[in-house]
Amino acid sequence: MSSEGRDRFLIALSEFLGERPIAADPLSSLRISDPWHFEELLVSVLKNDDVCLSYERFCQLMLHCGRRLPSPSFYEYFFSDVESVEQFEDSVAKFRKKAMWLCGNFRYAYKLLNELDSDAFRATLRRTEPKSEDEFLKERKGLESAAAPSGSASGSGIEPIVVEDLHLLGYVSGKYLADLQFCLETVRALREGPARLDGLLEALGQQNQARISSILAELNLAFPAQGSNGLDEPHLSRLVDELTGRVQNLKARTKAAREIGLRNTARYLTAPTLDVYVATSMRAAEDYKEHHHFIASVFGHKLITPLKLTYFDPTLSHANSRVTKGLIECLMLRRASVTIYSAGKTDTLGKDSELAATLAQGKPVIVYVPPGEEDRAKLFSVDHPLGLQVDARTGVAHGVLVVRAPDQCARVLRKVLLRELTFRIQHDEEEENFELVEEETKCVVRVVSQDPLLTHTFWTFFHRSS
Amino acid sequence: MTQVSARQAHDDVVRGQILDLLKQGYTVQARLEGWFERPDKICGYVPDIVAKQGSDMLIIEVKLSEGDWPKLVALRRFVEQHKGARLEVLEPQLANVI
Repeated sequence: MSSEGRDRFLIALSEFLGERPIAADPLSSLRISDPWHFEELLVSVLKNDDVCLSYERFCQLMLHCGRRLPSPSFYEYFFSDVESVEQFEDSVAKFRKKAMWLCGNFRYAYKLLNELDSDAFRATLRRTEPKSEDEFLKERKGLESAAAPSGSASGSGIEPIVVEDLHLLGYVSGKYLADLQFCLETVRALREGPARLDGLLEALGQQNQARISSILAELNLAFPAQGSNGLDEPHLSRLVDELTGRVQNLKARTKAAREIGLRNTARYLTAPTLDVYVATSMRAAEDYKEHHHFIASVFGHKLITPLKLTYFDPTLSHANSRVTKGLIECLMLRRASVTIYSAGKTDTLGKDSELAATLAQGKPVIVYVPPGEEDRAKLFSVDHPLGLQVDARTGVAHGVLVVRAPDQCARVLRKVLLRELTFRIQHDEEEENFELVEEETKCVVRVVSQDPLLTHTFWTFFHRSS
Repeated sequence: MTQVSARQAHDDVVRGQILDLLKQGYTVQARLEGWFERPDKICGYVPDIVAKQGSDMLIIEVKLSEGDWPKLVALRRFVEQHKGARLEVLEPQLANVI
């Protein structure tokens, strides 16, 4: 074999063993046998342009490099088809990607995978392999009870709410209704006691009067910010009539929307399966519309509808208190396999916590950043401190997948669920990390630190602490 | 889970009471976000409304649930110990809840 082929083989072997190869002698830090002894083995492995591996020869390679013996299942899965240097490199890359995905550590992955019996080995590796739509649906079917309402939100008994009224589920609209009611009651009180009108305005205070004026001005209704000019009985009666109509209308719509939202929340709580949690923060009416449109675009996408997903749509759910809402969302987050984080224009504590909690559970997070928000997208994919979070159970650092359009979100969601994501490994020279990069989103989803002290102390104390 | 908020009924009563008190010439502190100064804590609890007129101090608490009893006990103890202080406990009509 040419010296180039030999070097490539040794470099790949070094990478397989979790080391950064040294150019002159790629295995120098790993080999425990004498050079002549190792050379004797290499001659039998590298012949002409071929790589002549067998289980026994692979075991010998591991012995020479001070590693435990591989299991037959391990060798069979990764190396049994290798006949050339290219194939050996591909097999090493395949192992390294799976090692990063599963364990966040090459050496530990080798140890773990070779300790498993063949059934456990196959089950573990299956977690990294694509599954067909049929397999996915079959697995989901197994999780559902006989009476399980499956399918999209509408198919699972989730009631729709008129898009124009979605925001009535929110705190801000509830506050607006309360403000409008106070305006109405104040105007009514002014009409009922014209003799004491000035006294009541004074007791109300200038600030509150100005606030009423401002709220009514948005409805094109005149009310002085100070003094009582224009507040005669006919005008006050007109205001009472106008505001009564608006308050009654808004109250009725709010009541209807919230009753549906509460019923939907009860349905979400008892749903037999939950595939996707959508994390958003919504305040203005436009936020509700935008998020609803985004969710409808993703879950109505032709790539997603065949998967018959159940998903938590926060634009259709209501809870009476922030504590109840928080507990419900924690449960949804816990049950879902994936979280879609709709970034919006600003970060919020709630949304950020949901992102971090999902990653800490070892589950994938897809972050949707709308077009035009380039800095926000960069923040999540490169700069955000929560962009990489450690799985609290395994210690593996997980990163987020940033998408820029509903169409891409649907595509990536399908890839996540069917395990069709593809990766490449890159080395960050500055930070001395190996990074597993998802190819469509170019996001770092796993890292392996090359700092030996950090690596050793991290894994020593992480497992001891847990 | 599917009952709509008793908070709305509670707030309806608070708003009505505030305007009645203003009409009577009271100075009002109330838990009506964005409109009035929040009342100071009394025995560790913030009443819904504290209205003052001369030496008269009227505390109004609108019951939100049966779980309000420790607050009501504390407020009753306060008015027993302070001359000029009165307590009114009101119950919202749930039929009017949105």
